[in-house]
Amino acid sequence: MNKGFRFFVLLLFTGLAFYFLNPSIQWYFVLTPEQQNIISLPEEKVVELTKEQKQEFKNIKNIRQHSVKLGLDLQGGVFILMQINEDDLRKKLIEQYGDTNAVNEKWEEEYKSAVKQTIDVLKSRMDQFGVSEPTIQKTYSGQISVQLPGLDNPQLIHDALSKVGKLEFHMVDEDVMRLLAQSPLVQISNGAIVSRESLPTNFFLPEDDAWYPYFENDVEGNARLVGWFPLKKTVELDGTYIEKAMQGSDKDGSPSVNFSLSPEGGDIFYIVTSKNTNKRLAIVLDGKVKSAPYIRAVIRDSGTITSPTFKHDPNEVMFLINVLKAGALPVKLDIVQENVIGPTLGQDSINAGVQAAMWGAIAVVIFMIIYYRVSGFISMMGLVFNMWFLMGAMGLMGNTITLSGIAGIALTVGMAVDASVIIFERIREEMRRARSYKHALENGFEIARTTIWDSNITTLIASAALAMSDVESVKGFGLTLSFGIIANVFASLYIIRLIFDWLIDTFKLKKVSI
Amino acid sequence: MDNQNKSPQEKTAIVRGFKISHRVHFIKMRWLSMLISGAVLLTGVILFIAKGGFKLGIDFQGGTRVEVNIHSENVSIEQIRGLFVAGDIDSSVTTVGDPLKQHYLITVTDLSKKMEINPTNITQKLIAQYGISNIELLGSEEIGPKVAENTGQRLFNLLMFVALLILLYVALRFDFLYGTGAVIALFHDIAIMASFALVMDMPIDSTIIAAFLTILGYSINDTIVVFDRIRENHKINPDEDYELVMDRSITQSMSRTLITSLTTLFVAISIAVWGGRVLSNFGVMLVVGIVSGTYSSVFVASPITFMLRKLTVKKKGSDKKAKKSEA
Repeated sequence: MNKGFRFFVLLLFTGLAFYFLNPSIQWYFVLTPEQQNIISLPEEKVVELTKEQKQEFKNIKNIRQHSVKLGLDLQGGVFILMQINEDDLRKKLIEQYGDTNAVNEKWEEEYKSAVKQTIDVLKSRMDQFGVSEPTIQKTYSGQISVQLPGLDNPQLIHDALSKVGKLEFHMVDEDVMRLLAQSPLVQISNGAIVSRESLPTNFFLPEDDAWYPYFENDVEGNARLVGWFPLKKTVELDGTYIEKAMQGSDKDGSPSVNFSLSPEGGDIFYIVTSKNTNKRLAIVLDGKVKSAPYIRAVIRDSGTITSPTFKHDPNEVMFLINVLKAGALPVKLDIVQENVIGPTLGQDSINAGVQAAMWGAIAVVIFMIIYYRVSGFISMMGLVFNMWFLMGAMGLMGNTITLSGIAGIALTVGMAVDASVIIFERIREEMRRARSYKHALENGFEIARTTIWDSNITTLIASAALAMSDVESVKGFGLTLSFGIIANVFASLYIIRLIFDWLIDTFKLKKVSI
Repeated sequence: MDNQNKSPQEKTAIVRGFKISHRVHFIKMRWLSMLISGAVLLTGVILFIAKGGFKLGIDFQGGTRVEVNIHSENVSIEQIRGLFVAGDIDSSVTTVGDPLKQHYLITVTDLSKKMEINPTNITQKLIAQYGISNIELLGSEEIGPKVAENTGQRLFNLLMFVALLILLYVALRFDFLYGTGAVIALFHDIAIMASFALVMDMPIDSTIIAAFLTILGYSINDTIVVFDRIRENHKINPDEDYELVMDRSITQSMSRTLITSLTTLFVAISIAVWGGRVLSNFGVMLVVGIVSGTYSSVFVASPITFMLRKLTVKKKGSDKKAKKSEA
């Protein structure tokens, strides 16, 4: 292969790695803590920012999304693992189905659905945790894990788990909607105003109205801001009057949401619905519009909500029922594991990891250069590239670095040095019998190649299997090591070779000290 | 052999590095190495029985761990333990790092008192004794027994799965005998590390498992490099005595084996020394594993493969002879 082309390939990969790593560099070394904090702003607050701020918010959020993250063990934070209380779920299901056999039959399905609903509720409460990057996931074994980086008091979550949201009903200001619908600038989707920035300049919201954000769940169950509603400020009815909400079916047999009100609530609702037929009533949970069905009939103490989307998406039915229950958890949760890593502890771990890596690396570099002279130096250049590619790959995957990931990096260093040692020892051996250094170099690389491939692939098999594990620490280790091994094969068989060839051909060196 | 190829410039003189020129009977040493490995492993088994199994970290049996700084004078481990003995709770208290820094690790694994041992209650007890301003809570961990049980089982399965994959790959690239040798060497190293944990009374937690996994990768790498050399030499002259080939291959790759172990040991030792509370046990285990992994690729993997080969090839050899005589 032409050397110019080989340099080009090297440059290309180095550049690519930089491209993937750049967000991490920006995040950890360029941005100030104030700038980093901006991403914890909830979506509906972003509208109030100036245009420049909004651009900055978008940029920083983008940087963060693509940067390498630190695990809870390094960053500090709270990790909670929860499990659905089976007794509670059983009790609820028996209430619903009436007999134990029916419950047993549906158990697995109901269990899964309860887990999903719980996760949805927790996700919708994310902003209350006051953490910028919470992660809520279902684990392999059906438990729910919550990671809250930066938090050091689990009490906050305990509170959030036991409390319910604030549920209110507001009328949509249909006059304003009608007015805005006439403007060519305003885009309306799902009945809501898509963006408040496109409003005509001469438009002013009436005194007794307010803008409320409208959220819909995306496929992953994350609440996403999809538009805005102009709502009357008056609370027509609050959630305490709702007695029951459950799944029913309309006259076509599609699923619907049935709810009933207390007698007192029924009286209020009767007045509201009779005054506002064919207007929309917004269901607002914690200041966010979750749904805005039209009032089609006068309702006293029980009503039905239907929607064409219910038919295709049973989750939406469950979601709305949950909203009407003021966002209460569908079932009791047991906390089975709880870790708190204080910020000092996390920082200590980072320092310890960095120090260990640094001293280890220094010892290796000194040894390699003393033992293999210039060749040792070249090998260390290879190691630098190896680490660079490894970090680039981590950036590309948006991975999280944990303590066990650092262990994976440590083994990668070992593997990288090993590859060089295999090559160099082979070259030395060949030098003892070959006619020229150049011959020895060629042969050494040639023979070492099979060995390096074999040993790296075997280790890769092990590390790839570990990367697929669902034990978080093992996974982190396996993932880092897998990338490290791939980078290692490239660095030792391609880059180091290239540097040797370059030194010999371009500088007409007879020999590189080894 | 090299001497046959004397070049005018006397190349040997200018090549650095050490080189063993006479034959070392590595394979013959198998009885000695078996004795050594056997003795270490036997110690492990005896300790295992005597201690009634491994000491488990809270990740694997459930329990609570609270890590605090106590800014108060005259605090002692016994005193802290005493706080819990009063409530009939058995705790283990250790200092972390410099004892003068008063950085304590309190671990309770008595699951019969699930409510009393949650981190909040433990911290409350400390606060009651030393005052709220003197207690700095650094971190805590509470793990239910169910989670712990799952994790242990899953990691064990994973270990078995990885071993099987490696066996398959090595069997495919080399042959089944090599694969068996490599996997036995692998289990040997993990057993040595586990024995070491027993001797040192180190609790098995996920960090230790991570060390097992790391050595799994390291040891197999080390073994394959030696095997590769054996295969290469065997190909050059298939009729040569196999024991000789193995001895020579091990000798030839010896400098590489030692240098790689040395450099990896640098990294492991620095993790053990500077790695802090969480990583230092990991580093110590790595040191043990690297030494064992290096030893096993020479003294376990190759001899086992040799013996297995002797067993099977002898049969084949006699078959061949029988066929020959028939013809």
